[in-house]
Amino acid sequence: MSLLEVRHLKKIYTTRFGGNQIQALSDVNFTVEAGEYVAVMGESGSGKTTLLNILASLDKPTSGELFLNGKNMTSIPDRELCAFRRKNLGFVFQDFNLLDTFSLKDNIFLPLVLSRVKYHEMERRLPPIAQKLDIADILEKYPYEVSGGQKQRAAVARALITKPYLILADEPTGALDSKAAGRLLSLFEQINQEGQTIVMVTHSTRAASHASRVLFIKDGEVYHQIYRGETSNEEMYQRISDSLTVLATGGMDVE
Amino acid sequence: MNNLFYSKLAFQNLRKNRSLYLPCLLSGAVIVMLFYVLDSICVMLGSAEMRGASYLELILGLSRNVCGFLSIVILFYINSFVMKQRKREFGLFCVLGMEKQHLFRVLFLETTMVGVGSILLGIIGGALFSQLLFLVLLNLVQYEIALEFMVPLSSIGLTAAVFAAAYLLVVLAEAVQIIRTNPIDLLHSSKVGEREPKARWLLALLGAISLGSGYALAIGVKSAAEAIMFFIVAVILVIIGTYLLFTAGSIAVLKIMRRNKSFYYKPNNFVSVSGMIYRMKQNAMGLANICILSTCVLVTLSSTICLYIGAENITANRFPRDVITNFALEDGTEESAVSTIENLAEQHGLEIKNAVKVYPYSLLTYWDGQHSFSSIRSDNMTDISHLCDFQTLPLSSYNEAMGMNYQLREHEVLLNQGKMNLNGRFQIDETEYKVKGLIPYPDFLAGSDDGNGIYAVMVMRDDERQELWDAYHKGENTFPWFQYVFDVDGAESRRQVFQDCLREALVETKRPSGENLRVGSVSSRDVDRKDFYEMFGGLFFVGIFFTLLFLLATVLIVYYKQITEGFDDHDRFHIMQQVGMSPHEVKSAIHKQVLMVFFLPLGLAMVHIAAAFPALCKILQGFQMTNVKLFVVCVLGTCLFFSIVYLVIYWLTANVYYRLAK
Repeated sequence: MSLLEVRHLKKIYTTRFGGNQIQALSDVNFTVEAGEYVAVMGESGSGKTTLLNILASLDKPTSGELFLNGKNMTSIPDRELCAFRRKNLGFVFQDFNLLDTFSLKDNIFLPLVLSRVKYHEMERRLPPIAQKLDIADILEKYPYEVSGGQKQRAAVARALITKPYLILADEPTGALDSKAAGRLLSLFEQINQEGQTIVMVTHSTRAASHASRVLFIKDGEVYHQIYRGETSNEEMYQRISDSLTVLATGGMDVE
Repeated sequence: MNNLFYSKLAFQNLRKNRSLYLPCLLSGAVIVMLFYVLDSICVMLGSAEMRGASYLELILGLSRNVCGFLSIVILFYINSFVMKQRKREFGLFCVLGMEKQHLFRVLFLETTMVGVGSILLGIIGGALFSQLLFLVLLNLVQYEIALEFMVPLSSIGLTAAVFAAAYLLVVLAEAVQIIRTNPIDLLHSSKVGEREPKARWLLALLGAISLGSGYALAIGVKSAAEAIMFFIVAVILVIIGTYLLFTAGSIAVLKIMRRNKSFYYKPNNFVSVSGMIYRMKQNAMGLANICILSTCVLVTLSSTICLYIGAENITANRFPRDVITNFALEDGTEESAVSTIENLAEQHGLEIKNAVKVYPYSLLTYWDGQHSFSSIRSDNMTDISHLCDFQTLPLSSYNEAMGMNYQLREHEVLLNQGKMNLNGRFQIDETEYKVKGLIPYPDFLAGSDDGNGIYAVMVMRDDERQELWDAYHKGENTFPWFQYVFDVDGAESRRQVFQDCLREALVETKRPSGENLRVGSVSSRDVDRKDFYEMFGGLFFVGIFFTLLFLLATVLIVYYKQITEGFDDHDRFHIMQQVGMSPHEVKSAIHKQVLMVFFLPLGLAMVHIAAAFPALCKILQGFQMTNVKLFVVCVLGTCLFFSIVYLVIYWLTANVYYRLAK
């Protein structure tokens, strides 16, 4: 059984006055196996963010099904959805989404606190993660006191600390300089090698080149995908780049 | 053309920001209205030429000035809020190519529109309401005069001038703000991450001490004199304490809460405590202001209402009979005075009733707390809380007044011992007295048992009383007093005339020896009641005005606070939902915070009132308002009323808040 299974996902937005209907996703199908690192690419307006929002259960699909670990997420009632999301999913956002009112440590603890985890348990879980992400020294600082890269690593720590099945990342390198972005990507790789499943939505070829598989979305459908296999990051980069060119120029027959 | 563009832009800005500007306009109008009404009532009072109106005019004139000053403060306060909210927008205008002078031009036009609107609305509303309020005032002070509709031009002129100047000042303040900031800052002003406030333990401690000592002072006062003396000090201490506690104390407390890990890392506390730390930083001043304003409202309203309702009580207390006349007691004083009074009454077709001849002689003594009193001379004035006012009455006149026939042996007295418990005997200077019996407070004496300080009434043998008088006043050029108190029965209008010419008639009366009567005060309950209603009716009226003004200020602060909070919390809401908080949880967490923030000042204001209560009671006793129960009811009633108003304000503004935060 796959960790994540997406079947015939469709999402139609209706404008406020009911006039126009905008089809964000028309028919998306794919699966993610446990331990995979999947990048989702596509141009602006291709439906990437909509897809991620639905995966994150922040949004509901118009039709179609979505299974996480065999559980149909579309059938979970609203009031349980938050707890479900908290327990099973971890998020990393482009603009970090850290709360200014909390120190980094408290930001990382936030999902655990919401799940009513005991304080000593939180204290126990934090050090290894902080160590790995190299933020152990700045845990007491506040988000506005640290750099973008540090903020994003704290956000990753927040996503990891709940030991989620799946980490969803939305343009995680989007607001970072290239050095910080590189560091974050290798971290993602490392986390993935330790067994963490990651789904990342991105624009960046470089970010996607670290993934084990890349899905291309166009006009609300999965248009194409590339498996890494044994290729290096550089070769992967080249292949993604080629695919994007084809995608942009509208060619139909690749591979 | 160009001009039209700017006015159009200004008008559109106002419309677009109507959630900011509509309250601004309305509250401006109400402020202008209050000012206009006060001023026009002053003018109307002046033209009506009523008896005693000058006093009222004085109170109203004074409060008009205070009201004007407070209004300007409030206008500035509103404006600073509005400006803060619009900074980003101004930044955008700058980026789009507007220069500062253009920006200022737009702002100037906007403020002018709001100002002119407020002044016009205010004066129109004022003209409509002033008649009603004038009627209310006349009712409160119990005047009966014909009312004519009047819109004094001078009031319109003054109001327009004062507020035009006020809005001009506001525009100037805006100009200074625009000049001093640069456009990029404007654009990013709301994005700057706010530093966590430091806990200033010393200040917090100082606040607690200040508040505590203020409370202690207010609770510890023992008499009206002390209360009036210390009250201002206590008020200042409490105000300082309130500010410090809100600014430093609140943050210190929150930080202590945060240190308690097992408390802090709970879903509800986690979000509220950390949120509150920031909220308190931004809002401490505003909240302290709300708290102090609320306390002002509660104190003003409850005490003026209490005095007003208690007026009958108070005059009854001061006047055991309709009329009190005082004379220096010489040969033939009693007969001449009484016959003059009775003749005058007969002339006016009135009847004198319940007349009592009183020979009051009150001895001011120092009580040692047990059984010994020493008479006070000017040189041994000591602790005023141990002063005892010994009213002595001769047995013969007491028997006559009460229709009794008590007999007293040597050094025996009849005693009303007030609050003291003397156990049957006591000593004044060297003389020992034995209490033959306890008597109720004589109903013909003024200022009866009011709990106001220590007092005693003792009825003693005529000869001993004379000895007492001689012992203390021999050789001095003083006279004992003779007091004649009586009720007057007859038509109201005739009584009025009688009372008006009584004093003159008495002054002209000759004693059998051919000399004139020496007349002390001549006062009547009717006149006293009138004066009283005039004074406290006026104060009550002014109290209502200030209550309105303070309430308005409170409403505005709460409203604008909610709006700012709403904008700020919008992002926080969003993030928390993404991290896995349900919208319901977020809402309840934020709701809790907002509730705490806005009910903190109200709660503290009520604590202030509770602490001030003993002192306020004493001050009211100074006005001879001794009905503590009535005051309790007034305070509770006012608190209830105020809480309801506050709740309504909160509820209305909370909706605005949720709309913004969602």
